[in-house]
Amino acid sequence: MRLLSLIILFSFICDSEALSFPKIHPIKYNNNYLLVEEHTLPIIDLRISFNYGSKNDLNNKGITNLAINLLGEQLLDGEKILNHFEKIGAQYSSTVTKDTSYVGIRFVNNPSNINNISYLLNHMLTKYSITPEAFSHKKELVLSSIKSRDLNPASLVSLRSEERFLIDTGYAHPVIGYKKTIELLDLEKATLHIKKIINKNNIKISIVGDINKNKATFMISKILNKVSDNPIIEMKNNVLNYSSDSEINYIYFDSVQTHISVIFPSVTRLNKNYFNILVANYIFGGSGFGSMLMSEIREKKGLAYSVHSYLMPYDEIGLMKIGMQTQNKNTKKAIVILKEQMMKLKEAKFSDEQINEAKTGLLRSFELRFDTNKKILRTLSAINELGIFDNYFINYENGIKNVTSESLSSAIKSEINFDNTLITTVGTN
Amino acid sequence: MPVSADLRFSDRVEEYYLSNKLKVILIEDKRSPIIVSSIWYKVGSSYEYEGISGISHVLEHMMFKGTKTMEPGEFSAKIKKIGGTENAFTGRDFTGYFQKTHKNYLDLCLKMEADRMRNLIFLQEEFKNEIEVVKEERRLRTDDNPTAKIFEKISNQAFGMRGYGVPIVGTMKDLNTISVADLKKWYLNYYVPNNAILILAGDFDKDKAKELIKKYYGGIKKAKVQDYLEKSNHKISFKNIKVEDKVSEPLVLMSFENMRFNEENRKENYVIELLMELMDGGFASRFTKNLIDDKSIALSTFISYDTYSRKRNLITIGGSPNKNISPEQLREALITEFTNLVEEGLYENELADVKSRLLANNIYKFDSVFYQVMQIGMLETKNLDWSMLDKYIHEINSITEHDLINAAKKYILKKDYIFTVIEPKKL
Repeated sequence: MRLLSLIILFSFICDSEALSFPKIHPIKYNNNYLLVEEHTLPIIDLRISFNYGSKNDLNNKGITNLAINLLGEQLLDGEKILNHFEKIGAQYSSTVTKDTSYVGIRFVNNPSNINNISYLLNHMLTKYSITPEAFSHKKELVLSSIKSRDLNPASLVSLRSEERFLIDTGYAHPVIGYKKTIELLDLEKATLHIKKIINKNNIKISIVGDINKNKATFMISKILNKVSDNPIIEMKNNVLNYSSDSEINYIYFDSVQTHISVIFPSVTRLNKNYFNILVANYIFGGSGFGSMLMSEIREKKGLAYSVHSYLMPYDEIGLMKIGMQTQNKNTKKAIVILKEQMMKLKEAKFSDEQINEAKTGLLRSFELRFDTNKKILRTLSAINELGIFDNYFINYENGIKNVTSESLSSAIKSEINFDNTLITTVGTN
Repeated sequence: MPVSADLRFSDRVEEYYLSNKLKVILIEDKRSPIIVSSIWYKVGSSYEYEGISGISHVLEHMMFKGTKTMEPGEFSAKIKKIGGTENAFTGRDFTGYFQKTHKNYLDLCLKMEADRMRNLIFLQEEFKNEIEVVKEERRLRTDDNPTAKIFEKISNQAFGMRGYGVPIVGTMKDLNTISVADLKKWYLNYYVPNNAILILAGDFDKDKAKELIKKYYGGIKKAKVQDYLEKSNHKISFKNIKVEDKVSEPLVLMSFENMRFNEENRKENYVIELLMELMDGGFASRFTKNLIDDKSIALSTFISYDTYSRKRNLITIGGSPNKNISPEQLREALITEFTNLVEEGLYENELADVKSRLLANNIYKFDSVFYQVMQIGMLETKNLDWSMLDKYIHEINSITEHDLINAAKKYILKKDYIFTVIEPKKL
């Protein structure tokens, strides 16, 4: 492949000429349950999001990931729930991020599937029937993933840079945890944690596909029947504590390439300057070919296959990250170029043409992001999780349109702290 | 399980040829106002040989580096300006290029793609940088990746530097010697309309699309395509492979030689596909249920297999042993699963459950316009007709227990294989 997919978190763009915004319907008059009807294929995609991520792990680092992974392992009639899903051709998945966790199901629409899936999901959220065997197998798998992660330079650079940059916050540790913290977990702790996560007040549901409002209402009622309904315990706020010592954090690793990560503070998704920074990132390194980083590092110098920047707007802390990899001997040369480009970003001397092209590119790419049920669901659940359902599309469109040379320059000055940058390398250098 | 199975490509596909033998396939899908415009060339790593391995992939990179009418990078910049995405990919049997844009930009996509079918320029300065990018890609995807490295080694032992033994990205040795002259020769030979398939999918007006296709591609002359491959005498070797590398657990792989796909053995290949799905296709499959869940022999398992192969290929079965289990024990346990199927037959409802899964997956494939293009493109570049995708459900439904048992015997139990173990390197 010539290009790597670029990661642009929560960058769901709209366009003034867009012909078909998905129409979002709240279910049961509740903005936590959202539906987009799409009847051209007999497919339904459903995602249950829990407002609970690895940032809530506290001392049991990795416990949320392990707990969510165990949900589908529960037994029903002597067989795993996962197997029950498969038997009816349904695809189950689960994911944990630093802010959120979710389980998803894709299935073919027919009356028996709607009933069965609702029943199985409800069982999964209410019975807590995990066997010791399932627990120890999942634990072993996580421990194996931790070992693999530590043998992969790309994972390692991300891990070490975030540990250091996000120190003393819930975001510092990896989602899957550490060997020592996972080894201390047992089935009882995991089950208690599941009970903490599964709470009606923590849950949002997003549905896309061949289903109408009535059936979606039926499904949600059935899925959430008898799910616990306790008050949410507010967690402490996470504040960035990192203070740059201006040194590069070199980590030795026996590989042919050195992986380089650069992190500096940026905006959260709900920050008023989010759209200004989004446009800046597009010009800087978020839009592939033609972006400043791609042009200088790859197109002019041939130093890397992939180089990109992206925003990491966690709920409570926002970051901008640069990632690339190059053969070991070119590391220093690459870092010099990255620093030069960061200086240019800091100066924010973008032409009106550059800014307008970025705005147009972002706006026009909107419709491309809604061409499959899967992509619509991804957007819908992101909107749902962030609680920005009201006028989302209009706000997004206006947010991009209102970016000007002045607003962008001022946002970079006020929101990006270039003096607090962390550069980490993993390789033989 | 009642699953809707009435989604057919033939309800949405039209195909025809231009007079220069360019094959055109139109897939109508008006779910959203987008189009995917793609061109597929019948050339990839299986057309290559030692000395020029990776050349199809390098050429793919150079296709973005300017034509007689466009500056290097201009193609990408124009697509980016209209909010579109574009990419390219090289496989063993094909090289493909696509743009995904709003439906209003079909004209632009077709015009630019047709232009670079014949008008590519090869600037030495651009090549000098781009070949370094490709080497970085190889370092990233293969040299620092133990699994990719071992698959490259196994394929090479099985097929030599021919067919599916040639690494798509090329060997570093060959990347160091490929020249602009080599690339030009490759381009002029393979990038001709009679060696390409244009696939357009999404929301477009058919008549208008046909007009545009004729306008931009109709004037390009067909040309004779030369096959550069000489006869190879390479014989597969079943010698065991044992290496140490940066893996967290030992990794066991058993690679069985398998036939190429053609119309005559279509059913047999689908039986193998179903057999592999039954063994390792999901949470409820035999490897997971028996070896991971019940007996705790394996930590993980996998099967790597491509149903539609243009050349002889490999079915690779493997996994990582659990604690206190040796690679040998895992090897034996994996084979025993096939033996048990042969000796004891299927479990109750097992076949119906696997079929349900495959049939549902077949419906999910229609969610993505791009994926529809990929399915058809991959078949057509292997000289297989896209219409066999519509026969798939019927074929799968006709498979019996007897078929599966025969396939397990014939393609696994009675076959020799390359046994590979990667042991964790002591760091």
